[in-house]
Parts: sequence; C-alpha cells; structure tokens
Amino acid sequence: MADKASDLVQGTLDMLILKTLALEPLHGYGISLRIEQISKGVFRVNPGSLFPAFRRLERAGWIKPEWRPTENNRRAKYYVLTDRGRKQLKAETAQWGRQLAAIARIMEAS
Amino acid sequence: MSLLRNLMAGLRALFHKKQVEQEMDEELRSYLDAAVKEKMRSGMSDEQALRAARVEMGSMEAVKEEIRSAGWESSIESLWQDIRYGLRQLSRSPGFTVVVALSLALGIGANTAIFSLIDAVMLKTLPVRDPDQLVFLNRTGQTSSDMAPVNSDNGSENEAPFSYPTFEEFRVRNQAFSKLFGFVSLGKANINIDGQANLVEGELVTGDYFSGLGVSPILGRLVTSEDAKPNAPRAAVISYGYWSDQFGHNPAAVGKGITVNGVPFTIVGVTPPEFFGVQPGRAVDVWVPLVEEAKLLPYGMNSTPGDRPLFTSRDWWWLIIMGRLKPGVTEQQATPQLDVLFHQSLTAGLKTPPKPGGNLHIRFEPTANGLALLRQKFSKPLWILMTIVGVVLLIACANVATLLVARSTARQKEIVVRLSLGASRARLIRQLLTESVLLGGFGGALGLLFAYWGSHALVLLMSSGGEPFSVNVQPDAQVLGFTAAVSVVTGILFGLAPALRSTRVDLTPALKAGAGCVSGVSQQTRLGSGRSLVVAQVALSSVLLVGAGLFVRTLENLENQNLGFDQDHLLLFGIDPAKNGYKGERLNDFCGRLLTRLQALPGVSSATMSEMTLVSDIQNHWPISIEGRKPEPGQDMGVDWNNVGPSFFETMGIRLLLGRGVEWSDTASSPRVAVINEVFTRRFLDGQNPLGHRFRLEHLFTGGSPVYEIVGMVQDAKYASLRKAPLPTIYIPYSQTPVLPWAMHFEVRTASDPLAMVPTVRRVVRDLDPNLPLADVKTQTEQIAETLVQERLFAQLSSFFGGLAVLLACIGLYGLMAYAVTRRTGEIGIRMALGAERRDILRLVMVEILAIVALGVAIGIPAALAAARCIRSMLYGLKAADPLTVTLSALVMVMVAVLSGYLPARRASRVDPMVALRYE
Repeated sequence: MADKASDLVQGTLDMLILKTLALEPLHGYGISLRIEQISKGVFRVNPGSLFPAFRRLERAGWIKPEWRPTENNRRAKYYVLTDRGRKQLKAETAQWGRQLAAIARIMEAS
Repeated sequence: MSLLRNLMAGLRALFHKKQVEQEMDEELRSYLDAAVKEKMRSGMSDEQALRAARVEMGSMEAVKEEIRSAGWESSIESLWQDIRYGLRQLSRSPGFTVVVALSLALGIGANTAIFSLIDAVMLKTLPVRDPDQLVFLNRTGQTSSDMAPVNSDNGSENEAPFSYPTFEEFRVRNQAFSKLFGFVSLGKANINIDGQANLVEGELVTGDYFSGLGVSPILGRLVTSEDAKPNAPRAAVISYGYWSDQFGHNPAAVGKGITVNGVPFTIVGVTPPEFFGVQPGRAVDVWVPLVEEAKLLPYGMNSTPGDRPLFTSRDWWWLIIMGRLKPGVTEQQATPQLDVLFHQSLTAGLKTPPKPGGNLHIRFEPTANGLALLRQKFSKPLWILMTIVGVVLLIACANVATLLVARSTARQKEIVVRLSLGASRARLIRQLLTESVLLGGFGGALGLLFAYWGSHALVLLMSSGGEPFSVNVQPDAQVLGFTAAVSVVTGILFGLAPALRSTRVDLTPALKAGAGCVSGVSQQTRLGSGRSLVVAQVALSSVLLVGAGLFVRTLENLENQNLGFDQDHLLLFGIDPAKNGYKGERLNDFCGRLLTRLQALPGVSSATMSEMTLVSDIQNHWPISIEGRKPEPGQDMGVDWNNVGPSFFETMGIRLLLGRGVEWSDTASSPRVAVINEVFTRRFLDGQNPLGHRFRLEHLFTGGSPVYEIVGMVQDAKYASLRKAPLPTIYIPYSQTPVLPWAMHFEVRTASDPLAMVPTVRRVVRDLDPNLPLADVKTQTEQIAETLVQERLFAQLSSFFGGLAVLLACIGLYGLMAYAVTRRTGEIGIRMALGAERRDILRLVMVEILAIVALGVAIGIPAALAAARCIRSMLYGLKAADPLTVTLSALVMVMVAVLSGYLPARRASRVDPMVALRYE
C-alpha cells in the first residue's frame, strides 16, 4: 500500500486534485479525504505534497481559492475549479488514458 | 496570461509576505481542525485525534517551506538571503571590503572610461531615423591621373568624394535610394553675426541632406531642397551648441541674418542637441545649402580655376555622397546599377575614353555609426588603451583573489561547520560567489563615478590637440551594460577559484583541528595558488611597465630632438584673407602691409609669414623636375613646399648655409627664386653647389609649370611633423607662388612672453581690416605640444596604469608573504632554536620572494616584447625591443617587489623562538 504522494505516478497528483474539484469546491482536508476515500485508501496524500500542489495549480490559473464558512461555521479556504482548469483536466484525462493504454499494451506484450 | 498571474502572485508573496503567511497559517490550521474533527467522528478521543492529526501533518514548518518553494519567488528570496548574509559578512570586515571595492573600482572605472570613448567614437549610431538604411558611397579601383580627385585628402580611406555632375546623375537616375544627398566641409567658416566675426565648423549640404538623414529641428525648420534652388532665399541651419553659445537659447535666433565667409544667410532653424553632423568628433555648427550662386567653396579650395568650374567639371571630385536605401533594397541589388551610372558619368567626362576594363566600382560603406574619420584615427589608440586597462583589471582581480584566499583561512571554521551541518558544496559556492559578485558590484558602482570623471578628462586631454575632438561620452545603455557585465564577470573571476578551493575540505581533520589552526586544505596548495596569482600579477605588471617605458621614451625622443629651428619666444597666428575677398595682388599687398606693421612693433625682434606654420601636420607636397637632370628611374621627385615671407629663416632660426633667403625685393614681377634645404641638395644635386640650378613645379591645376632658380640653401628643419625626417624642401617667396595659398600664417619672435603680444597683434590686424578674424593664435611651443597630445596621453596613461599595476602587484606580494610568514612561524622558530641566525631566516624568505618575482618577470618580459610589436608604429627613435627599457622595467619590478617583501621577511627574522614554539 502506498501511503505517500511521491509514490503516485509523477504529475498525477495535480490531475487527481483537479478531478476531485470537478464535482464540487472543497477545502484542503476535504480534498485529501476525498482522494483517500475514492481510492479506497490506496492514496493518502500528506499535506507536504498537497499544499505545494495547490499553490502550483493556483499559480497556473486552474483553481482559485475562496474563503467560505465550513459546515461548522469556521472560515476555510475552498478551492474552485476554473474554466481553464476544466479544460486542463480534460486534456490531462485524455493524455492519461493514452498513457494507460500504452503502458497496458507494453505490460501485456510479454 | 497565466505567466502574468504567476508573476503577480509571486510578487504578492514577496511584498505582502505577512498576509500571505497568515493565510497559509490559517489554511493549515483549518486543515488540522478538520482532520481532528474527522478522527473524532471515527471514534478517537480529543487527545488521540489531535496526536494522530499532528503525526499525519508532520512538521508544520516543513510543510510551509514546501509551499513556499513551490513558487518562483522562493529562489529570489534565497538570493536575497544570500545577499543579506553576504552584506553582513562584508560589513564585518570593513577594511577588507573598502580595499577590495576601491581597487576594483579603479580597474572597472578605467575600463568603463575607455569603453565609453570607444562607444562614443565607434559604436554609437547616428541620432537619425533608421540609421541602418544609410550608406555612404565609396569607390574601389584606381583613378587615372586625368581624373585625379581634388580635395580627396581628408584623412580617411573609406570616405571618397565624387564630382558634382556624377552626384546629380546618381540622384536623378538611380532606383535604389529613397534619398541621395551630398555634403562637403567648409572647414572653419567665418561667421559674422551683428558685426562679431568668429570661426566655426561649417558644412555645405545638398537639399535632401536633412530629410535624407531624417533629422527633425528643435526650433524652426531645416534646409530643404527648396532652399537649394538657385534663386531661393539663402537659408542656414545652426547646431544646438552654437545656438546656446551664441544666442543663449533665444528663439529669436531664427530669422536672424548672418554672413558665412562674406555671403549673407538667414538662420531658419536649429538642429537637436544630439546631432553633430555625420562625422563623430567633427561637430558641425552651421549648415548652408550647396548652391552654385552662393559661391561658397569647399574646405581646401580657395579658388576655382577658370577651366574647372566646381559644379560642372567632372574631374573635380569633392562631394561626399550618402544615401538612404529604399526598404528591402540590398547592396547587391543597388551597386551594379550605380556602377553603370558611374561608368556612364565617367566616360561622359573624359576627353579620352578610359582604357577598356576600367576597374572603378561603387562600394557601400555602412554609415549607421557615422563616417569613419575619427574612427580610423582613434580606433587603434583606443584599443591599445582598452588592452592596458583590461590588464590592470586582471591584475586587480588577481590581487583580490589573493586577498580572498588569505581571508578564506579566517572563514575556514565557518565553512567547515556549515558543510558538516549539511549545506551542499554548491550552495556554499553560491553563497561565496554572491559575496564576490557583491564586491564586484560595489567596485562597478564606484567605478562608474571614476569613469564619468575619467572619460570627460580624457576627452579634454584628447581635444587639446589641433584637431577637434568633440564626442558625446554621456553614459548610455551600452556603457552601463558594459560596466554591469564587467562587474559581474570580475566578481566571478576573482571569486571562483577561492570559493572552489575553500569549500574543498576534508571535514574530519578540519573539525578536529584547533581554532587557530585549520588545516583542512593543505598548506602547500593554498600557498601555491597564492603564489601563482602573485606571479601572474608580477608578469602582467612587467608587461605594462615595458609599455609605459616605451611610450615615455618615445615622447622624450620626440621632444628632445633637434628641430632645425628655434621654437622659443615665437607667436603664431593665422588669417584667411581669401575668405574676405582678398585675392592675387590685393592679398599679397595686404599680407605685406600687415607684416611691415608687425615688424615695427616694439618688443618684436623679428616677424615673418608663411603659408604653413611648422609642425602643424599640414604641408604642401609637389613633384618637380630639375633642369639639366634626368631623374633616375623610380626616383621620387616630390618636394615639401612652403610659401614664405621675408626674413623667414632669420625669424625661425633656420641657419642659412649658402646664398640668400627670401627678401622684400622678391615680388610678383621679379625673377622667380627659391631657397632649398640640405636634403634637396644631397638627393637631387649630388651635394653640388645648388645655387643657380633651376627647377620646375609640375602638374599645377592652373596650367603651366613655372620655373624657379635656387638662390639659397638652409639647414634641414622639421616641416609638418616631428616624426618625419626632413624631406627635400623648397621655400618660395609668398608673392611668387603659382597657386593661391589656402591661408597665411604669421610668425612673430618676441623678446619676452609671446602671449603678452596677442592683444597688440589683434589691434594691428583690426586696424587693417576689422572683419578679419584671427585663427589659431598660439605659440610655436604650444603648437608642437599639440601635435604630441596622443604621445603625451599614452606616456601619462601608461605610466599611471603601469604604476598602479606595480602597486597592486606589490600589495599582493606583501599580503602573500605576510601570510606565509605567519603560517610558518612555528617552522621558523624551530630553525632558530636549532641555531639559524636572523640573517639565514631573512635570506630564506627573501630567496622565496626573489624566486616569485624572477618567475613573474621571466614570463612578463617575453610577453611584453611580443605585445610591443603591436605598438611599433607608435614608437619613435627606438625599437620595440628597446634593451634599455626592458632592463629598466625588469629592474624596477624586482626592486619594488623586494622592497615590499622585505617587511614580512624582517618580521620573520625577528621571530622569538620561544614564542614561536609555544605558538602551536
């Protein structure tokens, strides 16, 4: 079981964050929780990877931060997928699909 | 777009650091909160949940650091940290910082000063629209003697004049240029404003000159092709400098009437301050349209002989042509077309058609930087100066590197600790380099100040010669860029080796060693690298010393030679009566009357006149033939020629050897006579008695070739230049000259200070003609000094920089030896304890110093001899490998070095063995 983001295929963390945010805006812990839940605990992303990724994506203009009240009325930084982010997600998904297929072919070839 | 966002966010992180950090804190806290809540929900207790969440999060600071380094601003921040740390380190040793910054400032400043001159003379583009489209027409190939260009001797190879008809044919019929225009210098033009006469640089320009260059006026309008029409009102344009000097920026200058060489004009406009004409260094003050009717003659021509009118003759070549190429037209497309026009123009003008296969072609010279007059004259001296200051900067670098090597000992402990705490070597080198580049930056900033002062001083020095040298040395982007680049490169150059060396340590012994003795780096390598740096400094310094010696001795040789005439107590001044309409008989009459008045003045022991003054860099040179003698094949029959007045030889102190000099009785109507010098007799008359021989001046434009009888012989004297050995020379009475002189000069020998006579002389001239300005008023001594400006400049600058280099090398040597002696205190103590005398210790150290210096000199002298070959043409009276200079330089180097090494050596010999042995 991989418990470190660095065990993720290089570059896939950004894609996973974008995918997570495609459903609804979430705050940092929400995102990490969602990734863990959906992957059934295979991926656990620690904050040391998660937050730098947020900053990268924010700088690239794919997500934008919004301060919102949480369910228990505390202020939290939510991240929202932007239009450019949506486009980027689409592109990365397609790319991912191609890579996956290619890897699968190689692995099955023997 | 996203780049911009990234930039803005980065800047926000940099400048609103507090806010960004707070947000980060809050975000992480809320993450922690949420994590705790989640864990409690899954059944943990408060405490357990908090612990688990904290463990998951890891170090909060580490996470923050990860976030920070995700943005580009983090590298700026770490650079900023390096800089601040470097500044703290430097401020901790202010003495070191000041010494290093100053010596770098000297080196960088000198480089910047010379570079800004190079920039002004060679690199700056003309302040006109699209200078890259401008070309200047030149021609390649030979002109036959029938087409001998007149006035083509303007000191530059790639500046060739054409005849006016050729210009007109090019202008009308070419397809390649959007504008084609010409100009020619008026030389010093006599401008009269409200009765005030003064001499300024004037230029005759064709109608499209300003529109072709694309210059816009700062006031009024500029000369256009309308002004160049025959009956247009005469319009003149003045420069910004002239406008501020003469009119104090008064707009009323436009519309003012002036006369230019006696021809009335109206000022119509002022050029912008950055425009000086198209020849860098020759700043034009007045431009007037080239119109035949104005009867203004180009520089160097005082009359148009009847058979060769200026504007229609095809064999007077005097107009310099420039053009603006149409967009997209290349040289390859344009030149064949112009070649055709050129050949048509040439054959139309020749009485006999040219030989087939005539090899005259048009060539383009790029003109973006202006014409090459100054560039050619000063480019070599400037590059030599650049090399000299470059070497000085290298020495300064080596010197600073020596200091840094010594200093890194003091910092060894710090470096070892940082390395062992996990800093990477690259990170440390980056830190050390940041410090040295900082030092370079200080040096550069300070150097800019030195350079600003230095380049202005240099321009002053260079313009004290006879030739105008007005260039714009205001530092521009190129100069600032140059300085910045030099500072950074310098910083890396002197910083890299010490940085590499001091970070290459073996940690374990280094940490174990005591505070006073860090031996992580082997003693021997450290001293070794210091030693080779000092050897390099000594070698480079000896190169500069030899150069300085050669330049100084050249100046001495030039100044102390026998001139053949007496330069003391001699006042010179010139008048140009031709510009006020004196000609022929009237001119002779005027000059004669003026001379009589001058000779009668009290305090004047004698006075005379001549067309050329001596050592003015100007001469007449003309072919002759001697009656009854056939020249040997290939013999050069050229003679130097001067038109002189009565008592010329007596006034100048040129000894008369045979016959008589020029006298009042030699008039236009008396038999034509000439006086010659010794070389003439030796070369043309086999040393026989020259009196009574007759010679003929050949190929005069006025037609005919008048015959002169030799009536006297004088001793050889320098004529145009101090460097040239006297050539066969003829002196002809001014009244018997076959061509009008282009100016007349007067020489007045006074009993006391010649300059005290100036007001009297001015009054005498004014009495005769109030409209005649005096030109070039100076003493003969001043005039000779003027021709030596470049030699003096080189002697002074190379001595200065040579001295500086030696000083730096000595500081380096002293520093190295002082360090070495300190390092070896223990060893010396042991030697003394074992019975070595003070003398032996002194010898021990001095031998080492001598070895270093000898090695440096041994490398430096051959290098200097090789380099000296490049300056051979600038030397006078000695060879590039002048043994005296070389020996002296080597001696000076050794002596100075030994002196600077003596102090540390003496200290070594005073070591108390007891103290030294306890020292370890």
